[in-house]
Amino acid sequence: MEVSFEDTARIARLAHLSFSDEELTVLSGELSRIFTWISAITAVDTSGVAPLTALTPERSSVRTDRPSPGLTQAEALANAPETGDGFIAAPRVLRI
Amino acid sequence: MHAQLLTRSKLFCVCATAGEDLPNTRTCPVCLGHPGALPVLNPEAARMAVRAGTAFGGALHHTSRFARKHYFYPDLPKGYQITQYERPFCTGGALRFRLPDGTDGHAAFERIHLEEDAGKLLHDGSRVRADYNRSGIPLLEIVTQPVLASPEAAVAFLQELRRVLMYLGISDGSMERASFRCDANVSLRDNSGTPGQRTEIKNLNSFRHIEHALHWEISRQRELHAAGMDVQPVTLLWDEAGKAGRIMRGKESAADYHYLDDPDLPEMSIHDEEMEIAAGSLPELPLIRAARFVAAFGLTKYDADVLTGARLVADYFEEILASFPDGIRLSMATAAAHWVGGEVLAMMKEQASEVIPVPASHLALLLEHVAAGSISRTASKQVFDRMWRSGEHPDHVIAALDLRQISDADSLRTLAGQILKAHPAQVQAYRDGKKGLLGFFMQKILVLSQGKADPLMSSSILSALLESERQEPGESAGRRSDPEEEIPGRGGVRP
Repeated sequence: MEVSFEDTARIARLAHLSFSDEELTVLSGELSRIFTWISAITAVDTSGVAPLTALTPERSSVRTDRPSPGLTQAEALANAPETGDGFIAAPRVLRI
Repeated sequence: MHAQLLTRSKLFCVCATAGEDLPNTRTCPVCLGHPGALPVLNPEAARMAVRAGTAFGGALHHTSRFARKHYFYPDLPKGYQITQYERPFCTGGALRFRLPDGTDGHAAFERIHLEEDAGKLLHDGSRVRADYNRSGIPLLEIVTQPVLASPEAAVAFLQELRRVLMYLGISDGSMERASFRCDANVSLRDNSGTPGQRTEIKNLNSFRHIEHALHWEISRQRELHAAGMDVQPVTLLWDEAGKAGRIMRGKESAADYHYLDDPDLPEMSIHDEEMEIAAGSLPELPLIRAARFVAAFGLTKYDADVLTGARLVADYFEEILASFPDGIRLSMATAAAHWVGGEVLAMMKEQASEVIPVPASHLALLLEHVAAGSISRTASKQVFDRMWRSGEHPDHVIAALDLRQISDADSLRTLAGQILKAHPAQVQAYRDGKKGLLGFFMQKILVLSQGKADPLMSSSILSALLESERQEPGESAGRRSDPEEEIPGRGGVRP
């Protein structure tokens, strides 16, 4: 299965990753090989089989709508590379 | 449009939806998107969703799925938002509403689904600061078909939608706090009726802004067409201060979100008995209730609309009516409607109160006193004010404030006489033809009696005295007399 250079460039853009053209050429070759390998699974006849989308039971929980404390502010911020005044800070980016 | 559901905990975790306002104090590994955290659906959010689907008459599905909508932005710590895509819990449905010209509107829905809210971002120079307290709060998204033909119709539709969601008890409807907000799509039809390219204006959270933004975008698209240019599929942000939209980004094609069924969540299932419970517990919706108020109580459409604006207020009005004795219920309905629509709403607004602390039976009693003339309307407002603040019984307040209306003719004549005596110049002017001065004397008598003088009787006694003594200007006006007998020939000669 062929993943084109253009497809690879688009996936990279959606993932906010930048690559040179040479890297994209290498990656599209690698992705094509991975997809070809995975596509072997399509040989299985699944007609009439309901798609399995989750392994969790239909009604898994005894959950109620009762709030309970989670992380403290300090815990919530602990893994953030940049914080200030209780907020997690990040570079300003344009949403695409 | 999106409405935050009034659950106590978030959609997929047990963090509180309200409370502590310091940033990032209501979070957990689920709503912060930590690896390995497992979302679990809040059953109350599902119940509220079913309630909405039932009220709007949509087709509720026994099973529906949650999907991941992927995009990278700092308000979304997981890198995707959990929403419903190919299989929402409800398709179709509609809302009836009243258009600004008084005719009935009908907006058909595409779908209703559940999704989680994103975090809140503050933009600060080159940085954004993120607060994830809102991350994961349940949202109900309602998508209409492209059936709203004008900005005014869109606003009328949204106002009714907001009112219904509040009636259902599933949304607080606050646009200020952005718990009710709208993304508006705009497209123009060409002469053949074919809809053109649509654009989207995001996150509008005021009816006025929505109307301005829609007018602006319609003009922009018209100008593009006139210039022979194509409308691009863009997303805009509305800047109310500058009265202009700002193009935020090219609108993604659906594929860019690479939707994916969320493998962490089972199907959402709605059982028949849950549908039956929802159908059996729906409140009477506001437009139907307003029509009943008009038909059953003889209210004007306007009064009925005011009263049904909020369910609490409409309930209160009906409680007052129920407190009146059977014989006077109907005749008191309009007075009660005016009182609730006027004094009660004004007080709620002034006190920023979401409850009415005066028991309906107390207010009913006060209104009976006003109708019987035992206290004046002016004084009754004073009584109501104190009842609101202290919770006292109206009879107790009337006695404590000594507000029983003065409606015996002798006392009123004495008061009127004092006033005429104190203002000889105005008396003369009245007798010279400035009849409008009656209002001046009325005001004086109300002040002198501390609002207790019966206005109708005072007015007739004052005018009788003023007319009767036009030929005897020097005489004291305070004596006992029967004004009816003393009125001289109406065409009497002026002194």
